[in-house]
Amino acid sequence: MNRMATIILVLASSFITTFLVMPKLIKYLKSKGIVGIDVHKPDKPEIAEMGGIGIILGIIVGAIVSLIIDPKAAPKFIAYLATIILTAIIGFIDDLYTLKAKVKTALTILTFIPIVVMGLIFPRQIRLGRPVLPFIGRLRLTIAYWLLLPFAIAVPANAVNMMDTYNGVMSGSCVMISLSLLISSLILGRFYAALMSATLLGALIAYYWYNRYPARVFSGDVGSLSVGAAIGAISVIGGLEIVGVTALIPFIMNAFYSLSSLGGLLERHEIKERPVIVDENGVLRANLNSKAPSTLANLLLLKGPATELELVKSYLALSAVSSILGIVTAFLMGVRL
Amino acid sequence: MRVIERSCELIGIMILGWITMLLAFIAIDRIIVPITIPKPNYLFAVLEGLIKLIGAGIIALIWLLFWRSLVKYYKVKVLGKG
Repeated sequence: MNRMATIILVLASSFITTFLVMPKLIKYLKSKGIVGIDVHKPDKPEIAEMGGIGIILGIIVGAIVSLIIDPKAAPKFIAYLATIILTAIIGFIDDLYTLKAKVKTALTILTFIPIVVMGLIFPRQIRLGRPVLPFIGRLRLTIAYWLLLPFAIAVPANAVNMMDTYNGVMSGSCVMISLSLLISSLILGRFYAALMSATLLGALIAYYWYNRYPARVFSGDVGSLSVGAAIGAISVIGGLEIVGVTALIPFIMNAFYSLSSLGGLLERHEIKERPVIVDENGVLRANLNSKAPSTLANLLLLKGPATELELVKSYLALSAVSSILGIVTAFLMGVRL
Repeated sequence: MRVIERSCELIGIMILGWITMLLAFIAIDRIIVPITIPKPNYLFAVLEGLIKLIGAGIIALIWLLFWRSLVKYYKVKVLGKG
């Protein structure tokens, strides 16, 4: 089958799966009382939580379709799926029992193991080490690569998780990031990375329909950690590390500013001062207390109060720019100084 | 307030962060990677790797601090206006 047709088929299969699963999943989660409060709305509605399960199902179906069409991709897709499922299990446990922030982060560090194991078993299919950088080519800093590899999944997983705070921000931003990874893969001729990106993109577009403002479902940690892990896994397996880092800049900014202002990893309930104050009309204002974490929302609201929808659009504008920068980075990977 | 008006400075910081990240990679490639020390045995090869790692780490740290100071400047500028 033609490569472009394969990518479209994989994208469509993951999209259809998530789109069809979500209504039933939302109904089921609500019936079991698995709900969260939408704290940024004046009436504080109860919204179905853990909807990220629908994203994972979409990715799995997309990956199975890819493997049926091209069984040679098995090592890459097994590593990709194992990483996502392992992260999803951590998120699932966290959603039900609330792990300590440090425990959750430590567990996500372990999720790089399937990629390394598959890389060692199938070194020709999964080539780890020596990433390609813009203007430089393959970087000869192999020790640093292996030392950083454990964080290649943990950092995006936790960074995406930390930005899953407003309706449609995580899903909308990650739609653009996965599209950026897909286009970058095509530019660089990495067909299997394009297929993996298509599984994520299809599932996320469908999920965004339900998660966009006003949200009918929240992804929960099971969803946000898994989506971040999927982005990390595509970047590492597909040799798109720098594209992934670039596209994730708003997420990294958010995590870095929050952590540096808080002075360490804390769970949401452990943070005494919220970054944003919601008034009775649902208008959001930056919390100017010095103990409030400097999240992106806090920084965006410094210029003045906004509705949640206005704030979400600002977030998406940042992600759109970073996703374009990701594609520019892919182009620059072919340029040598 | 329009979306672009709210986010334009942060977009600027993000683009500046990206450009300086690429410059940091070039600095690592041109300054850190060529570092070599005489290697009479395997331990010195490990030491060379460690020196390169620390050098790359210092450049990465400078980049992170630069990024942080940009945001601090942005905060002071915006709050100063308000």
